[in-house]
Amino acid sequence: MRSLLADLGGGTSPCAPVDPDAVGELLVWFRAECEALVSGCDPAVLPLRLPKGRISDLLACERGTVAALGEAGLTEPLVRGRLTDVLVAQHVTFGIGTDVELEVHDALAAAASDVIDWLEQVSEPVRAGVWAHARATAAGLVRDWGPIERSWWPRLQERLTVPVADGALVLSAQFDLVLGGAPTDRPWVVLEAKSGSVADRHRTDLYWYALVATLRHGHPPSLCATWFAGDGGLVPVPVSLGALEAAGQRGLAALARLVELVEDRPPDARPHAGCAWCPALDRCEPGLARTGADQGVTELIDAGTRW
Amino acid sequence: MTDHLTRGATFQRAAAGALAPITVQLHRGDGVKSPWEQWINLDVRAVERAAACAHAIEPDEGYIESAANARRRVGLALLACIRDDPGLDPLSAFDRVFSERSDWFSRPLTDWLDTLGSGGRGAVAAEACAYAAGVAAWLGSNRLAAVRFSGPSEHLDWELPSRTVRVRGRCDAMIPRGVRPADRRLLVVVGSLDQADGAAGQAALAYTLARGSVPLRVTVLAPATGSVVIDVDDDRLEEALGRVADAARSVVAARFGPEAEPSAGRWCRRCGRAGECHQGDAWLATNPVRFGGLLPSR
Repeated sequence: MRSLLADLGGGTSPCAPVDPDAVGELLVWFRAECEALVSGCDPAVLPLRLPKGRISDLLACERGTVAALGEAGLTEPLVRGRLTDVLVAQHVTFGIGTDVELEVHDALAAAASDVIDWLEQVSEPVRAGVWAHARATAAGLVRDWGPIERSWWPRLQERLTVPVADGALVLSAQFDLVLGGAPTDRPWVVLEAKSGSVADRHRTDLYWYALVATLRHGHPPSLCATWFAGDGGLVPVPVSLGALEAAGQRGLAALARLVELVEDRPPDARPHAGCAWCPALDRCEPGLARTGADQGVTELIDAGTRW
Repeated sequence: MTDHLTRGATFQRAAAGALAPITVQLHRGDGVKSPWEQWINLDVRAVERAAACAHAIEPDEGYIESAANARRRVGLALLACIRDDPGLDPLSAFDRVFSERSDWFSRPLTDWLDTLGSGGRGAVAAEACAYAAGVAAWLGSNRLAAVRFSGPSEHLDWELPSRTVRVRGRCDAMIPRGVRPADRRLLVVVGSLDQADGAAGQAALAYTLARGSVPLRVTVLAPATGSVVIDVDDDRLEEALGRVADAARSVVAARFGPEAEPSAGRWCRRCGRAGECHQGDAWLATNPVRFGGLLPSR
């Protein structure tokens, strides 16, 4: 991370700049395709929303996507993710002190976060595991990131919302950390922080973020990257025209499914690596068959991707 | 007197004429100072609630100070610092504002900030810096220098004569500077541009009444989405005044009766009468929550 930001700050770009005219044409194409897909939807079901998680979910398994809707409550993976966000914020603003638990608790209290209650209610081993993760993440931030210069104007949890087709479709993104860009004279960098270890599947999320950012501001970020607290891995993704187009095609594929589902097509079940965590698993034959057959593989995935 | 001032005075009279008969039960003697808790604010939330359903009331949730709730107030202070010290970044501005917090903020906010440790300070800084950066990026350095930012607790208030009622609005910034110059432009920062028309109308009306001067236009900025520019003409002000009058009727009916007729819709999900309003409960029962278009139970 240190060298990446040093290179970017020094004017070294990881990829060639994207042709603005080609970007403009791509955005026109993408908006037109979205508009065509949602044009026949019943106004009562609008607006449709397509955050990055829903794209992945719909493309993985429609039945699982629908089954998980409205699932409330915090889980250990969610809490680890939230604490990672808090620690990134603390590291970027005032630095993380020696008492990680105290600082995180203080930040959660200031945010009136429901995580505080969750931490009080879980068992001691779970709580100990979560705090161990927090301490490791804090150490990783100090080790891998170093101090972030304030002249980057770091912004935490920046939200983007892009209405398409007169608001019938709402595309959105929330970036863990944004550096540089419009208020500064530095390159525009979007960073995601994940609590787990390096996994290539997050690359498509970054492409989607790049596309939503481009739709909002008319030009793509200089760089998107994911930092993984679990192993300190950093995966930078240069934003090319091809990356934006791939994100658009993927988003349109998910949107086509979303439109069919809101028009009452029954959701399909597609066995995939995430079946083990699906709330509908106990009544899903393809999912049960997959998890039974792939038990060993699922355990490996669990160990490698859940956090 | 120039046109914007003449029109401002005209609208003050029109507002008094429209609202006084509706709010007779909220009478106070001329020159009498009423305790603050008796005052009724006809602000954008009251207006939006009344426009949805005259029967609706605010849920009784109580207010708690939090990083998110402090976002705009602290962010406005950061912007004022950045404007006055070009080259200053938001985090350095936060350091300055935080160390002078009792000069910038109301007592309750200062007291709350006093309780924060390093983590809490980081949470507030994250929110306030994001707000300030969003506004600064949109303004650009040239316009930033010319803007007057609202104070952290500043409102555009106009007290209806002889009543415990005030029309309240807010804006985040004004240009050009001055007490009530001609061609005044207002900036209102919102979370979603869905609220743009209502926010612009309320800000324009509240400014007109509070300052006795009609602004030229209102720009509504949702940093996540973009901005819209809305010109302020007499039609827009009259429409806003009509909405404020509806809100006044709703407030008076809720306190003194007769109860207004409910008008059910999606706003029932956030109404303090949920569970005791037949129309609202019937609507909620037949209109399950959709998640971005999808129904959860299939």
